[in-house]
Amino acid sequence: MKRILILMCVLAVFTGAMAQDFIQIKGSDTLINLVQRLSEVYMEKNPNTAIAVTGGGSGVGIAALIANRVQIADASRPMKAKEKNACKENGVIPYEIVIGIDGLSVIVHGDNPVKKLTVEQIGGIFRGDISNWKEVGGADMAISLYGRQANSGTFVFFQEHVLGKKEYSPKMKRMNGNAQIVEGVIADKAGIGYVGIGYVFDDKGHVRDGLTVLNVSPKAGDDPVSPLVAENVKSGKYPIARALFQYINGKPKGAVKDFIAFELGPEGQKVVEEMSFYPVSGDYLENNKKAGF
Amino acid sequence: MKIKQYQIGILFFTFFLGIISLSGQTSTIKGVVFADYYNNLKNHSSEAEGLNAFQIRRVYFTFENNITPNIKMRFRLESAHGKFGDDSKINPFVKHAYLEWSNFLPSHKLYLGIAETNAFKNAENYWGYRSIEKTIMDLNKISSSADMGLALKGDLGTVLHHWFTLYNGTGYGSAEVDKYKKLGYALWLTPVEGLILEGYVDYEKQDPDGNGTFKYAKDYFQGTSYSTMKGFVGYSAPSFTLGTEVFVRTNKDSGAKDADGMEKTDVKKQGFSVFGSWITPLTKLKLFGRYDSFDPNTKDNVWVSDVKNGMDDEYALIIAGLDYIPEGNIHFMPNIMIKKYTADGKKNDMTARLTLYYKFSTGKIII
Repeated sequence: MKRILILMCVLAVFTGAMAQDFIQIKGSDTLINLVQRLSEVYMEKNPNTAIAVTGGGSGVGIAALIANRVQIADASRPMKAKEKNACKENGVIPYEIVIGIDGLSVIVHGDNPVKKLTVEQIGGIFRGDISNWKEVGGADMAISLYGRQANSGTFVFFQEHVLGKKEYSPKMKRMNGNAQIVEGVIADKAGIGYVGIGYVFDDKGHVRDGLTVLNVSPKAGDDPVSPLVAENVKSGKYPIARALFQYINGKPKGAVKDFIAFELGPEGQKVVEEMSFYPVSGDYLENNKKAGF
Repeated sequence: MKIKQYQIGILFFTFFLGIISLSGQTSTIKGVVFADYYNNLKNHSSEAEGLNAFQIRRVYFTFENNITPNIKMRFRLESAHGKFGDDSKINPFVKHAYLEWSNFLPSHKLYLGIAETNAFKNAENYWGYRSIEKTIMDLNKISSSADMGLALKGDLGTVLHHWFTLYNGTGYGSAEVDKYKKLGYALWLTPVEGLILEGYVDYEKQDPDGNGTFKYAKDYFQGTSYSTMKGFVGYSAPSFTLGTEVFVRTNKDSGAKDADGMEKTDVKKQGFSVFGSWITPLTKLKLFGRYDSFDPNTKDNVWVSDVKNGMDDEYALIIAGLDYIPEGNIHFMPNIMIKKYTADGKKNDMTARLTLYYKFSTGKIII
C-alpha cells in the first residue's frame, strides 16, 4: 500500500510537471528588462507557465527563432529580408507583434553644455565626421563614443536611421548592453551614447544623475524634441522613435498566445509604462491585429 | 592532382597566417553540405539505369573576415563526389575569393575577385532549393554561378536595385582564354514586400577564328558574340513562394552550319522555369516543385564540324519533393526528378532521391 502511495505521488508530480507550459524567449537587450518584468507578473497569475527570458541581441534572438530553439524572439528592429528568407528556408512563418514603443535616447554627460542636436549632427558624430564637441556648440574636447555591438538591434536601427546606413566610427566603444552605455557616459564628460529610453531613469522615475537626454531635431531649423515627453514619441514628432517587436513562428496559440495577449492587454501595457517605455498605439495596433491580437 | 592539393594547401596556409595577424576582427566560419541517396529508376542511358549510390553532391566551406568596418573578404572552397564510378578522391577547389567593399559608392558594394554572378542569383534566392537542383540558367550553363573580375551592386532607391559585372566569362574554374570580357547587368524592382521584377542582359564578344588572340571556344557552338536576355518575376509570402524565369541566349554567327548549308548561322538557346514552395500547416514540413522547359538550340537541324546537333533536343524537367526540418538548419528531402525528352524513342529519366542538407556556422567570432 505504501509503495502504491509513493508511486501515485511520483506520478502526480510528473503529471504536474508535464502539465506546465514552458516558454523560451531570447533576443534584444533593450527589451530584456521589460520582458523579464512582464514574465514575472504573468507567472504570478499563471503559475503553470514557466518563462525563461535571455538576451544576446535582436539578431541572436531572431536566429534562435529561425533555428526553432525559442518560441519568442525579442527584437528592437524589424526582421531583415535575409532573416525572412532564412525563416522560409527552415519552414518558419514569422508573425510580428509590437509590444511597446521606444524613444531611442541620445545621452551625454550631465556637465556637457550641449542639450540639443539634429539627426544629421548625431549621425556625423557617430560616423566620426564630427570629432570635437566645439563643432556642435560644446567645449573644445574630443568626443568619446559609446554604442552597441553589431548583433544589437539598437546598433542596426541607429545605423539605418541616424547614420544613413554608413559605418560607425572605428573609435566607438562597443558595449555589451544599454546599462553599460549609461554607466560609460556618466563616467565620461566627453561621452555620448544611445540607449532605449527605459534605461535613462533611476528607481524613482527621474533621469539619472550625471546624465542629460538630448533634445533632437529631425533637421536643421526644426524645433528640437525630447523623447522624455510621451506624446512626442507616440505622435512620431521625436525622430528616433521605434517599435519594440516580438516574433513568433506561425499563428499564435496556447501559452504563447496567452502570454502575448497579456503583454498587449491593460496589465501588460501598464508594465510597459512602468518600465519607462511607451504603450502600443496608432498603426502598431493594426499590425498586431494582423498577427491575431 | 597532387599539385592542385599542394597549391590549395599553400593558399590555405598563407591565408590563415594573414588572418591571424589581423587581431580584433570579426570572422565567421560556415558551411553547407548536400548529400543524397539516389536511385536512377529510369534513364535514357541503359548504363545509368538502375544505378544507385550515396553521394556528397556539394560541400561549401567558407571563411569570412571583416578586414575593416567597410571591407569584408570571403574565401570559399567547394567540393563534391565525381560521377558514378569515378574513383578519384573528393578534391576542393576555390569557388569564391573576393573583397567586398561596402559604401564604395553610396548604397553600393564593390566586389573584387572570384565572386557571385548576377545572372540568376535573385531567382536562386526565390527558388531556395539549390540543394535539390540549380536554377535553369545555372543548370544549363547559360552563365556560371561565379566568375573572376569586378562587380558593383547596390540600390538606386528604396525599390530599384541593380548589379553590374565585368568578368572574364570563364567561370570560377578556368583562367581567361581570350582578350574579351563578359559584361552583365541586372536591374530589379521590389515595389511591394516579397515581389520582385527583374531584367538581365549580358554580352561577350568572341573571336572564333582566333585572329590576334588565343582561340578557345567558351561555348560548344562558338560565335562572334554571346548575349543573354532574361526576365524573372518572383513573389514571396510568409508561407509560400512562387517564381518564373524566362531567358534566351544567342550565339551570333556561330560555328554551326544550318540545314541549308548556311555557314555561321545564329544559334539560340532558350528556356523557362516555374517553381514554388509552401510551408504546410504541419510543423516542420514544406513542399516544393518545379517545371523547366529547355531548348539548347531553337534550330532543330544544325551541324558543327560535320556532326549533327540540335535535332529534337528539347527537354522538360519536373521536380517535386518534401522538405522535413527536424531541427533548425537540418533538412531531409525525399524528392523525385523526371526529365522528359522530345526526341522520338528517347527514354525519360527518373531519379528518386533522399537528400540531406545542412548548414553550420560558428557565428561571428573575434580573432
